[in-house]
Amino acid sequence: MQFGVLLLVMILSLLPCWNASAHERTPAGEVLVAPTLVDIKGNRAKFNEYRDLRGGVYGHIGLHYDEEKTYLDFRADNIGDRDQKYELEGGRWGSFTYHLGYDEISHNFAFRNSPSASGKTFGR
Amino acid sequence: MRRFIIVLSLLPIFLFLWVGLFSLEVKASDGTVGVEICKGCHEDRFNTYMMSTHSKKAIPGSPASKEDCESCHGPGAAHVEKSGEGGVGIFIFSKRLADAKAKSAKCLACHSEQKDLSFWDLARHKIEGVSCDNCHTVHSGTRKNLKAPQPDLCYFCHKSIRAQASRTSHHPIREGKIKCTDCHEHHGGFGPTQLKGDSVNELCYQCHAEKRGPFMWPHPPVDENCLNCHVPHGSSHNKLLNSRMPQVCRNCHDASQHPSFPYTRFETFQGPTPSNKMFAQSCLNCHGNIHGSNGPSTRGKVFVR
Repeated sequence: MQFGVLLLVMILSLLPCWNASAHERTPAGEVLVAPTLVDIKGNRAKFNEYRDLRGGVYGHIGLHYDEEKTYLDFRADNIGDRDQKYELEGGRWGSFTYHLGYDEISHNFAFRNSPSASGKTFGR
Repeated sequence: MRRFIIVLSLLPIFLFLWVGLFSLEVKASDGTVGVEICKGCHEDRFNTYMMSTHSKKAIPGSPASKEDCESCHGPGAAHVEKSGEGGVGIFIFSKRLADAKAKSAKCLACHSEQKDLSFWDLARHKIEGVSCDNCHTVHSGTRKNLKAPQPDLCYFCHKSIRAQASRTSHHPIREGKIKCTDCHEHHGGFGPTQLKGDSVNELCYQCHAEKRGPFMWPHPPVDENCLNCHVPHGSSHNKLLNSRMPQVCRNCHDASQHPSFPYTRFETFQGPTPSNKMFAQSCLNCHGNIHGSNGPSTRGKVFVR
């Protein structure tokens, strides 16, 4: 729920950017949606210790607006995954800046904790 | 009356000419030529400059609000007169033509008041001859005018750290969840290895707060320094340990209650089944609360789960 509100705030914050673009400068940006195919040979949990790389769809959005007085950057990576990241940065040059971010860090750490596996650490 | 009107109408023309001549005189005296002249020959450099924060006139004291190119590179009149020849006092951010101190001085002329540059004089980077332009570029549209994003920028010099961060157990640096500047104050600081904390432990506790305590039964090496057992960037052993279990514990706990030497086949394969001495030899299997325990009586004292 909190994440949904945060995402809504970020999207609403982009509205002035689009409004300004009509009068001044077109914002630059990219939207990437790509299918991903992942084939992991070995410990899947260890491979994904800090990330969520699996088969499916990869999503990325990057928007950049910069003019003489104000600027706005929006970046979304790994949309919908467990390591998704959203960043909104903007401000008025020489006056103020703001930065909103949501960064999810997944951490698998129970991939080698069985007693027998721990015994392996003792081997010469 | 007619003569007065003629004089009055000519007055703006005289004023215009006078101001124009005065400004030409000023230009000649300080040797600047203006950004348009520079653009004429260096258009590619001008275009990248216009993408950077330095080109924002709204920022007080920015090059754009002063002399643009000539704010950093110096007056260009002599350069123009000699049809773009070198050796006329134009400052170029080049290893060959200027030393690190001179290059940094150019940047610090405007940036010295910046909060995060307060300790630049103490910075290891400065002592080692690193200048601002080694990491930053004036002509760029990247964040903080960096030449490359982190950690690749830092890895350009700190190659051993790249190797460590690529080991099997590592902080999520290569996954992009932690940046070098999350822990290190690259512009200088009082902490060891330019850390952002007053000590190693204080820095680690910012994320690993559950290790801070206070505990009823503290483990002294933990309070002393996290690096007694862990390495910060990456390790070949689980949980960023200096060495594998149980050796890391045996550095201090030498043959007191548990044997401090590896078991051999004589202790393990003499019976019908392998002895349990071959298994569960990680100290943490029993002493799980190794960073400190609030457990009652002796269970807590020996950090047993």
